[in-house]
Amino acid sequence: MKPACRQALEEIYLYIDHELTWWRRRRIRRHLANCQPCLDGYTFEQKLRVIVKECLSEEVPHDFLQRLQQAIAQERGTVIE
Amino acid sequence: MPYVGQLYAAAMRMTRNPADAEDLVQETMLKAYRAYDTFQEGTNLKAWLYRILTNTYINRYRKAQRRPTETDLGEVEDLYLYRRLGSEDTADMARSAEDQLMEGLVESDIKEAVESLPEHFRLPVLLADLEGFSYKEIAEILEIPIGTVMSRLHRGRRQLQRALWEYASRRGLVPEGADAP
Repeated sequence: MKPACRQALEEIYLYIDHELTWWRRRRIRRHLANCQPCLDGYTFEQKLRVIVKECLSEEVPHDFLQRLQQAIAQERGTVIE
Repeated sequence: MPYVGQLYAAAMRMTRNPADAEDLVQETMLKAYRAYDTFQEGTNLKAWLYRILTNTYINRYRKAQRRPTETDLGEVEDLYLYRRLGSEDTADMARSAEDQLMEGLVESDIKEAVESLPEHFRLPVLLADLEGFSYKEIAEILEIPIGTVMSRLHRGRRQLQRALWEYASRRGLVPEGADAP
C-alpha cells in the first residue's frame, strides 16, 4: 500500500465522523479524488454506516407512549402540589 | 416529549428487550423532568438526556441483566468487510459482492450484531452511529477521556464489521471462497 493511501485510510473514520481539522479534511478529499481504491473503500464505509443507522431505529410502542405521558403528567402534578 | 423515539432505540440496544427498554426510557424521562432545573438553558439538551439514560442504564440495569454472549473478538483490521469482499477477481465482482451483502443483511442481523458487542464498545458505537454525537459529546456523556472514546469507537466498529461478516456468511451472502480464514 502506498504511504498516501495508508495515511488516508488511517484517518478515514475521523473523516466520515467530521472530526478532522479542515486542512486534514482537504488532504483526504484530494487523495480520494485521485485514488479509486481508497474512494471505493470510503464509499463502502459510508453506505454501511447509513444502513446500520437505518436498521437500528425503533418504532416506539403506542401504549408505552401513553403510559409515559401519564407518568410524566403525574410527576408534574406532584411537583406542583 | 422530545427525543423519546431516539432514546427508546438506544435503550433497546442497551437492554436488549422491550420491557427493560421501556422502563429505562421512562426512568430517564422522569429523572429529566425532576432534574430539569439543573439543566442549563442553551446547552445540549439531547446530550444531557443521553447522559441520564446511560447513567441510569449503567447503575441499574447492567447489574441485573442476564447477559447474552458478548464477544470480544480481539484485534480486527480497518475496513474489515470491505477488504474481505475485495478479494474478488475483478472490481465489478467485488462491487456486486458488496451490494449483495448490504442488501441481504436484514434488520435483525444488524441489531443482533450491535448487541453482541461488549458494552464498553457498544455504548460509544450507539452514541456515534445511531445518534450522531461528536467524540467530545460522547466523552461527556460516558464520562471518559476523548482518546478512550476514539479507541473504543474504532475497535467497536471493526468488531461490528466482523460480526456482520459472520451473519452475512451464515446467510450465504459472501462470495464462495471468501469465507475461508
